[in-house]
Amino acid sequence: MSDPISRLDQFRADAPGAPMTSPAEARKRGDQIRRRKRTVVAAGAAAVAAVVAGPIIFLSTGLGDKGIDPAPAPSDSAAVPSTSRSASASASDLSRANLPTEGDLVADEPYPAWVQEQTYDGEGTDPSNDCLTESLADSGALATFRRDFVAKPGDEMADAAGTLNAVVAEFGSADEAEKVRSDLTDAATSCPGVDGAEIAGYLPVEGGVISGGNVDVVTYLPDDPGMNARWEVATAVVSAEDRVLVMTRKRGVQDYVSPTDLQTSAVNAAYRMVGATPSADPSADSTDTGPPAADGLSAVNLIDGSTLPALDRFESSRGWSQYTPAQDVPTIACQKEWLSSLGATAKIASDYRWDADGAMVGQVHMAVLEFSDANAAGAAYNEVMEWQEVCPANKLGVDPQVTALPIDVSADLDAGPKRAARSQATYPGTDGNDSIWFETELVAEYETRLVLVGYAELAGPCPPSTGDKEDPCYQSEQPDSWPDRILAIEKAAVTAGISDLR
Amino acid sequence: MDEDEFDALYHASYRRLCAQLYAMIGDFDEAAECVQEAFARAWAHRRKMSSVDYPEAWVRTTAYRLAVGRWRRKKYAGRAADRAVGVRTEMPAVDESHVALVAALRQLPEAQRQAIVLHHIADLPIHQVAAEVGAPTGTIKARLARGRAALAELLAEGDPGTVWKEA
Repeated sequence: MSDPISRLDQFRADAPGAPMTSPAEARKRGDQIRRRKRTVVAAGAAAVAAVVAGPIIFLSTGLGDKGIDPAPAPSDSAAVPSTSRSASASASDLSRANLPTEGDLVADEPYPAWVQEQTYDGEGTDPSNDCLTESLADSGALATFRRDFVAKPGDEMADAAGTLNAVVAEFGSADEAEKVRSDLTDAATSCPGVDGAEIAGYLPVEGGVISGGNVDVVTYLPDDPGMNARWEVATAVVSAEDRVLVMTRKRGVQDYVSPTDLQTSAVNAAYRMVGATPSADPSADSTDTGPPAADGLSAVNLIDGSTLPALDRFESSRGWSQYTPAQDVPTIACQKEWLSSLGATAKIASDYRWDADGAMVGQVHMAVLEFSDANAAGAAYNEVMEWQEVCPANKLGVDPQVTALPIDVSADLDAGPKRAARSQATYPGTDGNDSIWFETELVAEYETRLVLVGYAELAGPCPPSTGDKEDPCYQSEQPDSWPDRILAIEKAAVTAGISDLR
Repeated sequence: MDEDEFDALYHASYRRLCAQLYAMIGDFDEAAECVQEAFARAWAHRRKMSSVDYPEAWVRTTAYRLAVGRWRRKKYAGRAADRAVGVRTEMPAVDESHVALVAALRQLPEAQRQAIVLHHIADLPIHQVAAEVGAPTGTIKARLARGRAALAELLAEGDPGTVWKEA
């Protein structure tokens, strides 16, 4: 019988399903959810935004609730004695003047500018961040202040921009502030306040007065099935001197967009928090993967992201997107030392990521190094190849394992490098499951130049399919494009890296 | 929604919703877990549930979202499909013909499968299916027609010699 309707009717009539369980169990679990939410989750004041595409269905309840200002102050600069538990100490110079203002904040296109809505002495009456389960006062802050912002009312897209708030806190010492920043960053990433939150991405916040900082983004499914977007909580936690800034942007999204707006806003806010003025030369704080160096290298030596082949195992609306990783991301996982240890006269680098469903599933890191002469370049090549063989990595926080020793692939790259060594390594993913990063590492030498490429895809326990049907890990449902993708990325990187020398 | 109303909804719709979700996702115990969790969330939102027109539809949509979320997490953890789907020993055996039907449903595009399950298994009229998935009724009709035709072919592959045509 292949009549689908009768088969479906029969299915409905039989209602095959699990054995009946008790509704009391569901109620008990529901009560647990309710208790946790009451203590942790912000009580609304959140709009839902479509970041990339498609209409968003707004929550029908909970919107528009506003925090109650427990102690409205006459002006920004007035340091009003706090009525909150978090601002009871008097040994602090912190005031409302150390809170960010509208001019410090950058709005994410295409949303309107942020405008000030409410300022609190202390941390306010409702939680400022869904993820953080401890207040800054709980962490030992001597004084705290909070300011809430909304997208300029009446402007186009204002209802979809979500909300933003900033809390500044002062601690007993810079060390204490740094420790609190570290703890809060962990909490912003693991998001203990929300069930099922997933890490979507992060950006470093650094430079100038900043001791340390990150923007961490998590997303989670809304409880309300009428909402066709995920909640996104982007949390910037920054320390400077003995103070800590926490900025939180919450909105509904359908896709991940790198929070560069919040990154810039957090830098501006950090300066204001300590009463300093931003430096005129922010590029002075270059990092290992940071802005390009000069001396004969330029953007033409870097890969063009639009030419990278798609990571076709995962659907992504954005494709490969360039991003700024945290300061301590090595170009190849097996790297023993920062590339500066190789003695290059110039370096340029770029980083791309492929995101699917809010998680990074592919990453390309590329660096081009220029040396004083060919001998120096050759010596550096040998050093990098030794890293690939031995994998003495200490830059990633995990121990990568070499799965394929370096082999010479110079003939495959067409670009004509003198030597090119490719190896493979694996290291664990961060999701706590059995996901694994499968990284292909390449170093290529041409005259006075080296090109390094680290290309990693998330899979596990089997690697991405190679199309080899004899392989016990062969996965018929996957495209067999991994080997071609590796080669295409390597070719593109090496071709660009030495383009001005050929 | 008070305890009695919740329990009545639970007793009336739990098995039905498990069957519907099973047809949608093809995993028996995953469906049961997601329905149970969706009911828990309904109870957590019981005040709002009092004003919801179709509480069963709310639970179904929530359970489906939970299932999709779990599936995505498994997918992006890189597990092969056969590792993500496992039948627990304590679950009852499912009729062989139902297994074949669910296997065929899983081969349909998600939108067609959802329309077919909601209309033919959840027994919702087309306008309610349209409301539940957020698509026009004409689109739902097209999805149903294409889905039924594809399903007939898939079922015929497992049952050679039979032919079915859309009326």
